Amino acid sequence: MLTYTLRRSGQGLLVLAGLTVITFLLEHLLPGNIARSILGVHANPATIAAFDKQNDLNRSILVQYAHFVDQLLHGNLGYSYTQNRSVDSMLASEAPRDVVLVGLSLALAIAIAVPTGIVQAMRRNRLVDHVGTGIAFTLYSMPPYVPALLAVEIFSIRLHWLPSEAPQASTAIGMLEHPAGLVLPVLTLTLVTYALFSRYMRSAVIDTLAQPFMHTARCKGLPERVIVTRHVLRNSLIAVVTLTGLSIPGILTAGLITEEVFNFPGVGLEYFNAATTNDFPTMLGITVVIGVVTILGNFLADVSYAILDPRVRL
Amino acid sequence: MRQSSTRKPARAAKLATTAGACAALLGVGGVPASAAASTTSLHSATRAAPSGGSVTYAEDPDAPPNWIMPIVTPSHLQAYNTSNVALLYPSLYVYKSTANGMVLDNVDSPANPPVYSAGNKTVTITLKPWYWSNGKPVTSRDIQFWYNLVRVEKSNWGNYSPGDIPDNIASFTILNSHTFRVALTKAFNPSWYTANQLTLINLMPQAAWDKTSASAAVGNYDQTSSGAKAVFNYLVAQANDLATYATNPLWQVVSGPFKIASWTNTGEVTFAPNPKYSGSDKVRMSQLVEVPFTSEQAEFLALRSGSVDYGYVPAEDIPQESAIEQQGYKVEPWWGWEVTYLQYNYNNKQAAPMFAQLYVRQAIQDAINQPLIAKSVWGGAAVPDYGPIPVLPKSQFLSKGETNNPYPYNPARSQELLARHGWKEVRGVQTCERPGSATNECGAGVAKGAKLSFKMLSESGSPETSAQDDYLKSAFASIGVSLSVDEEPLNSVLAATVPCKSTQDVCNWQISYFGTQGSWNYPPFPSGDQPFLSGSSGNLGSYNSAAADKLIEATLTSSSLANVYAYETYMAKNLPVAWLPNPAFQVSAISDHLKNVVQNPLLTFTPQSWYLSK
Repeated sequence: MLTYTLRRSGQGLLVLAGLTVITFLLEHLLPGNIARSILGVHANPATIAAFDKQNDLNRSILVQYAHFVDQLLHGNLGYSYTQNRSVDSMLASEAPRDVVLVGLSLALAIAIAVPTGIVQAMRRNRLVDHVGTGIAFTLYSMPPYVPALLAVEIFSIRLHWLPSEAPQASTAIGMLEHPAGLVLPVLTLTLVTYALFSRYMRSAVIDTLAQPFMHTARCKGLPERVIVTRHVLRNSLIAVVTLTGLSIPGILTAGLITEEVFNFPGVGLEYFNAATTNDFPTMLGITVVIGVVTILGNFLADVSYAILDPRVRL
Repeated sequence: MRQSSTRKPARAAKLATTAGACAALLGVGGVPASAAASTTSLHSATRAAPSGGSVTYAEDPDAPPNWIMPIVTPSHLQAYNTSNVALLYPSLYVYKSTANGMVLDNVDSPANPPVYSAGNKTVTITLKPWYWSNGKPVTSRDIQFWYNLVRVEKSNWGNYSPGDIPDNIASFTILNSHTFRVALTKAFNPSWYTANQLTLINLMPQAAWDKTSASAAVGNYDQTSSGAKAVFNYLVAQANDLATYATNPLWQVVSGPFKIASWTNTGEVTFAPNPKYSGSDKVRMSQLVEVPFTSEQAEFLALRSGSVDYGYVPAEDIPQESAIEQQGYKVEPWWGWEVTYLQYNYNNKQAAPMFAQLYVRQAIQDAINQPLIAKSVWGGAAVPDYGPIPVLPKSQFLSKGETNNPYPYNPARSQELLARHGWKEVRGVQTCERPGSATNECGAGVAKGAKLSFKMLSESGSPETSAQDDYLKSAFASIGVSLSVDEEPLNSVLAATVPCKSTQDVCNWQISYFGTQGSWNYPPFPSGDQPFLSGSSGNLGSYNSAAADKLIEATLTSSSLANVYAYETYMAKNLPVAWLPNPAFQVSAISDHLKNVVQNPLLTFTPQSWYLSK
């Protein structure tokens, strides 16, 4: 296990290094003048030169990259061209809020999808399965902004039951102090995520139910509850664990539409805005963090396999 | 999409004299003081108005305010920053739009009108008896402090333009605690200088800020270059710490109508009234809350749910105007002091020879039906533009040379012009058949077989702009001009639209559009020295006309408004750019309970004049 962990960590670092090189190069290959794009049409040679000097843009790309790596190794992700704050502070402020919002919806989605998927599979091709499949397909095929806008229209604008915006507190704890504001964005994200997980869970359970050991379990006379909890659930969760591992980086990025509709400035939106405004330090910093989270997510999924299925040898 | 390009803040100015020493006060551009200079406060109506209440103001999407220091650095020179700074640290002079045009606001300006002398080479300014929030008076030394810092760090000042202030100041002399004299490097048009230069000066509390570290005592560091740099760097470092804006003692010393109550890192800013404000109009509301939004959609939803007092209606939602009004909002466009156009690149190898021909530019302009675009594309939230002076709001600068529209929509004339100069449509594209410089030939530099086929960069993210692009492609095609459009984010368009030499790779752009919220916004005096003067950094297309240069220079040095009219008429006819309808800065939705709101075309706002009714 230790060897595996070290090997995967080494691979992760290599992937991360490659990611920074590719991102850095791609961003600097974009045509045009970065300073002009940030400073606008009123910029002049003096202010452009000052901007370039301040941001090292007057140096070679190799020197710029070396400087970036040096800063990265010192825990400094860079300073936004446009927001007057460091990428570190931006992430420190917004990532925990994303974790609350998207993490909560992910947890809820899994909590609903797993039993739903099991029930549908156990009653395959019956009414409950058809209804579940219909709901899942409807939600899955729906762009996230549709349930988001519908929810706001109904619960905020018409009924005035819930606020149209997510909590505007600048900290994760502050958000939790305004639970009403969390309801609609969490609900929206949960519905969209649930559909995907429930489909995976249903398929996995159907596969598991067809395995020979299931016949053995039934022949042994085990009660259905024990069969489901001890054999079906455990063997079917691998697919969901894989999906969860892949979804972990999405905690930081998957809420883009929700962030736009519910006025919730998160990391995904920051990245989108940085991309459209040529705010390279922000793009790079977020790319690095998401890269790390992706690698970690996959690593955790791999470890989970071994725990769920001892036949898997790391 | 709301742009992040720099917008100059509204400034105040006062009009001065023309010949000789002190003379009659004039509004910008020569409107007599009696008509132009305002002596009535915007807020006089509020004196009998009810007090209290919290007002919620919607910020532009993804435009959280993130600067506080009066010397705004180049990357933070956006309207949402400069307008906030002005609430804390007013400009020396403030302008506003009235029925008489763009005029100096004598009441709200912290200084008395400037007095020009020595053939307009010297200006003497007397400050009004204003006070900082710490009880100390605003003095000449505060202005000198601003000047000393800007002088040594001009390239880090967003409003700096080479040759302009502080370059055009030869000396700064304090005459007494409230009067100072500025010697200029040459004679300037007082109207222009006051409106476009003196308005850039902000009040800065020398007695509180002239230090190089938090623990250092206040001194006179700004009197030396090295000291001024150290002070500037210290203040910038403090301004870079957003989290401390509401707590840093530096920023608690203000002279404007408001002080900061809170400032979150997501951009929610709460202003409280400054009880020591010296201006005539005391703040009536208990607080002003600027709320950030992640998208226009989010803002519109908040507007519909009634949680915003002053917001905006996204262009695609303008058809819902009546529903918004029924909800208790007044919907009205906020016209910016700006013009909108297609920018030609006169140095692009392929296109420049054709753009250099006036008849080609005329043919293009003739093919553009501006009233139709304004109505059909922008839903009426745009006004046709025929020259370099904004058509709205009405001003003293606008002349018939522009408003008469030298090139009304006439595609038949476009085709006739091209045919007369030796062009023939070949497979739908005008092709030069008769090269040469004679009056019936294609023109100098245009080769036989050259085609009127252009590439245009345009900003993405706006359905209206995309619709306008489609219209332009169709309109151009109708006269045999091929136009391919590449839509990119605004910042990418700005990055590519650079002044360049024909030999440079970056000079491959041909036409550029970045005007969803106006292509060029003006300071109070709409001179052409930035967008159209040869060699100016704002002259993105490298337009080069000796005649235009001469006319522009005249507007900067002579106070006669006739010079502005001559410049305006020439540019309307010479078409350095293709004029397009000017969209409103935003279509505002203002709560019926929020009174006395005036939307300043210079894009600042004056919440000190607002009040909430029952």
